Amino acid sequence: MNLFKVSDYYIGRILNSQPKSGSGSVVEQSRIRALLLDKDTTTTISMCATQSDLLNHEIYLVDTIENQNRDTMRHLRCLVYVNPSEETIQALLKELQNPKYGEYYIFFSNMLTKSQLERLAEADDLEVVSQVEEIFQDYHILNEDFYSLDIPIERLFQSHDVWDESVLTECTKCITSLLLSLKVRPEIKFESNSKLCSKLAREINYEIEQNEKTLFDFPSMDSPPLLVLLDRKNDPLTPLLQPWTYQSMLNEYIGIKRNIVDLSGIPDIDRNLQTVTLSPKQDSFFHDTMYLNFGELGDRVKQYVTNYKDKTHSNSKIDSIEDIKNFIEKYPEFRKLSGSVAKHMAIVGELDRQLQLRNIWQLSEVEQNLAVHKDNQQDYRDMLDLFREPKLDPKYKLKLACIYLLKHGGNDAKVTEMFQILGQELPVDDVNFLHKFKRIFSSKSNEHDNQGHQLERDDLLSELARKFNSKMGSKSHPETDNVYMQHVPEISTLLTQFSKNKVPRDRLRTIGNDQAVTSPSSPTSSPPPQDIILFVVGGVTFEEARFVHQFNETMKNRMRVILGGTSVISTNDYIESIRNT
Amino acid sequence: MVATGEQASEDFHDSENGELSIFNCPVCSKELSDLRRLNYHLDNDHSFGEPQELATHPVNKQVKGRHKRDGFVAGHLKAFEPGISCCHECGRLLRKGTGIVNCHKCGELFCGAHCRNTIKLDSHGRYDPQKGRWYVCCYKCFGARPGYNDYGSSRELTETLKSLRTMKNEDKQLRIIQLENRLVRLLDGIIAIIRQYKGSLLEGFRVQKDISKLERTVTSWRDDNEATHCNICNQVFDITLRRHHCRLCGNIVCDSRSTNCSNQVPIYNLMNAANDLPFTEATQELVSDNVSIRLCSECIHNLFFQRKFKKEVRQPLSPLLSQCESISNTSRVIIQLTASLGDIERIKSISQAPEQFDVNESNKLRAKLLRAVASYHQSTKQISMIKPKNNAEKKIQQSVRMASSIFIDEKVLQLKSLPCINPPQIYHAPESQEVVKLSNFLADNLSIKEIKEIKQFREELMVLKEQAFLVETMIENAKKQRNFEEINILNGNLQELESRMQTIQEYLGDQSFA
Repeated sequence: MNLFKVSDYYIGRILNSQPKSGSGSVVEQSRIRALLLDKDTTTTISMCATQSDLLNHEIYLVDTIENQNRDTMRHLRCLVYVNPSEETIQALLKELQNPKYGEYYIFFSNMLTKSQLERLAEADDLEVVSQVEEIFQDYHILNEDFYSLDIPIERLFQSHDVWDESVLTECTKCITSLLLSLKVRPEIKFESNSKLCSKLAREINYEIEQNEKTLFDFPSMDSPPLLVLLDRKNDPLTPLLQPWTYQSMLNEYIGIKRNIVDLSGIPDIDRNLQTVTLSPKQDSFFHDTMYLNFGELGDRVKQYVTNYKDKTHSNSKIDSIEDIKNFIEKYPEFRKLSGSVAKHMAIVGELDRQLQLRNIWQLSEVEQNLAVHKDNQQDYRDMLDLFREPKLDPKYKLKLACIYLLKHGGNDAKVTEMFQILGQELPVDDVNFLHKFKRIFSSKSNEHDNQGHQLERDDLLSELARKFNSKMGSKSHPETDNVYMQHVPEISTLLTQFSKNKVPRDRLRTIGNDQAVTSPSSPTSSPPPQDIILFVVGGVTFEEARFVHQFNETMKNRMRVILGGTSVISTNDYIESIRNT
Repeated sequence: MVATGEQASEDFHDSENGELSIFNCPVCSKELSDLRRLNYHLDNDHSFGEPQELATHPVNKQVKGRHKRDGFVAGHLKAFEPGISCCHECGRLLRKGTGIVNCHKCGELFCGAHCRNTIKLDSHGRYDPQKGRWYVCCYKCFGARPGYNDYGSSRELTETLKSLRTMKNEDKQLRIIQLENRLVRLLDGIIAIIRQYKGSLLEGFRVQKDISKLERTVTSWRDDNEATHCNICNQVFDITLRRHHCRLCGNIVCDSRSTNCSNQVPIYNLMNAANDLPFTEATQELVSDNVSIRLCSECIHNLFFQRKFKKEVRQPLSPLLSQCESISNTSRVIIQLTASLGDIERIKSISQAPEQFDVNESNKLRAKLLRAVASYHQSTKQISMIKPKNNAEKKIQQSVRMASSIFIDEKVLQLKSLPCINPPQIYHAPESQEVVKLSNFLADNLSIKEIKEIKQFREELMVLKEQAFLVETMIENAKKQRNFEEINILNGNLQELESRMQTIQEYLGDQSFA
């Protein structure tokens, strides 16, 4: 279940498509090919393939199908890789009626309807289409075990807890394509308290049953893979906390879209470094460090730079022919290295600057303490101090208050006092927002607490150990036990429960056999699931991706988990999304 | 009893092996203090075997235990032999401390750490995802289940599209054939009429009359009164927008300049554009007569669009594209030669004394390779000189340049690391030729001062330096052998190299490495 392998396979399929013998009489002369994409697949391709990959396959012309001003190049063969959305189909029909290239190989990133295919056939007067194929990659791959549908939260819901019809269809299609690309016919589970998840689960199930005979005809497994649909509302805390790993900090403070990082905001940045690409697939340093926290990252970057300096040193003295020879051999690699060092230095430098600038160190400690500790006076004081701190961005104060409401909203006296102080510090809008936030989550927080208590009892030992470690300065266990990374997302707890086969029965429901919840299929009689595909409605964080990654590492060869969501969110995105619903 | 009855030990409690004293149940991950307890747990809680008392655990009863348990035929399970059996995965000697487990699928023995997966098997140890029962297995068997490591479904729709297309296009094809027949009849008729009245006094008058008669026999014209608006653009007819009949389909269309619904087309052009149709009359004699017929845009499209498309495809490649072809051919040759050269070098390095045949072969290849590289350089140079016809060509040109620079980075530079153990004389001849070509290439491009070029020049400079060094050593050798004739030639080469290096160094200025 490595998503990069899947995308490599698909891209290979597109790029290696050859004219079939007998049919290729039209354009035999040129090996050069053009690649036509639409706005969805441009993202897909740019995240999974590099320009040199394309060049290696003699694709020298890349354009979008929406672009009407393309030049006619009759001698080129054209690979088309598009999403079968109505808009794109229209553009494709237009293209086929008046073809700009000699021959077409069309790939769709998701299922095509019968009528769409008929329309294509009708438009293809000149018989320029030599191949039509559906491949299934209607989602964006961020890491090998992390995907996103890139649907902004604002578009998801009609109103609170009700799907927007078109987005629901879109989600269903995307997830179906994910399942097809991994060749699984899963058992679908969803969080029983979420209407959104239950609706989506039923849609997906319907879609699978529709195509059971044709597409979902996979060999049945002894332990069926699970598709687990989760609702962001059941873990609102995780997206509110400041993240500390490389990849998630990038997303939080600088922003990363389609693997492109825009560094133009940094003062005095080198012209070559204004936009850089970062992909775990191509950049081995990033691949190794993306899950490390800021402290560890600092060490690695330092090491990297020293390493580089050593190399430059050995390169600077070119006295003998032998040196020259060596240099020539290593030059391309060296050039790559120097670019990479400069890039990571710039990014890490900027992250550090942002952290200082925004008082994140102080903020995050208080946040984590509020999120993890029981309600206590010390944490509360720290929070109030931060509220009065004039340098701190108001949105962080708002966030702190949200965290407090979530965890300790029951403490009326303190909450009232907090609102009083915030009334002076924050604009009216924000205070109103807080009331709204309290309304949305207060009903939840009670049941959440009950659940929480149970978990805590179950997990008491590790809880104690964690506290102890955090006081010890966390030197001995650098893993997660530092002050800034105390909080453990719900997903992690859930996965641990899965691995022990101890998921509380009322937590998840399974589609198809509603009565089976109570049926005597006792959890001990079958081993834990082997493959789990998680999907979070309402956005997922890089921080959670890290936990999933770590889980995969520890459960190597026994369980495989893939995480994804409607979109990847930063703390700010999340606050805004609540504000807008 | 599953995790195995193969332990040959009596007492588990003196386990001095601290590191492995805790076992995880492969099914529910419950931690158990020793193997016996694990077995017991598996048997009872997961009903892997017949429940039995912990205390009455059989000792040294392998054979008995290996037969039928719960209907499971255990014949393929390998027996544990103390001191001999090793873990099939990591190869370490199996002791009681390591854990001793049979994979129930393949039957091999494993240590506790390498047999932690579970699989559903039928009573004969075959994979049975539906009715089987859970047994312990190794990762290899676990991963080999059909569908476990599979990915990438796709669905080919080409055939469906083709059959749909044939179905939809059949009508259109019939329509086109009909139009083509009409066109042939009409044009042949018109030419016959013209020829008939050629030179006659009443030519203009009679020809017009006969042609319009003929036109109406080819297709029936729609009644003018039927149509209030144009059949194509739907504009309403009035005094300025007149009705016209298409001479092929008979439809009533307008002649608006903006929509181009119909046009007068000279029949000479029509016959030329569709010269594959079986016209009986020759076209030559019509050149002087400027007879046109009115055709609607739909008929024109139906008749000529496909012809135009096919004709354009058949045209020769543009200079840029054909140059690209030659580049890609050359690069293929280079890759192939590099591969075969690498093979030979490997053989040579293995057998200490290289055979004469191999040496010759390698030299031949080397010479070929150098020629290919030189022509590659030349082609890239030519590509950047071609003026692109349009934007698309411009993009292609840029891509080709990028691709070739990557190619040089990856393939050509790596050639320099190929060991050269051939005698200098043979090696030398193609080398100097190559140098001349490369340096020409450099000299011609001196005016382009881009970073990329500079980098390339630097690399070339390195090559030149290396070559100069080689020539110098050759001279030394020749001096030792008192081969003065060759020294002269070599000196000439050396001077040439040095002058080239001079030029490049001057050009690069302080951007060179010195």
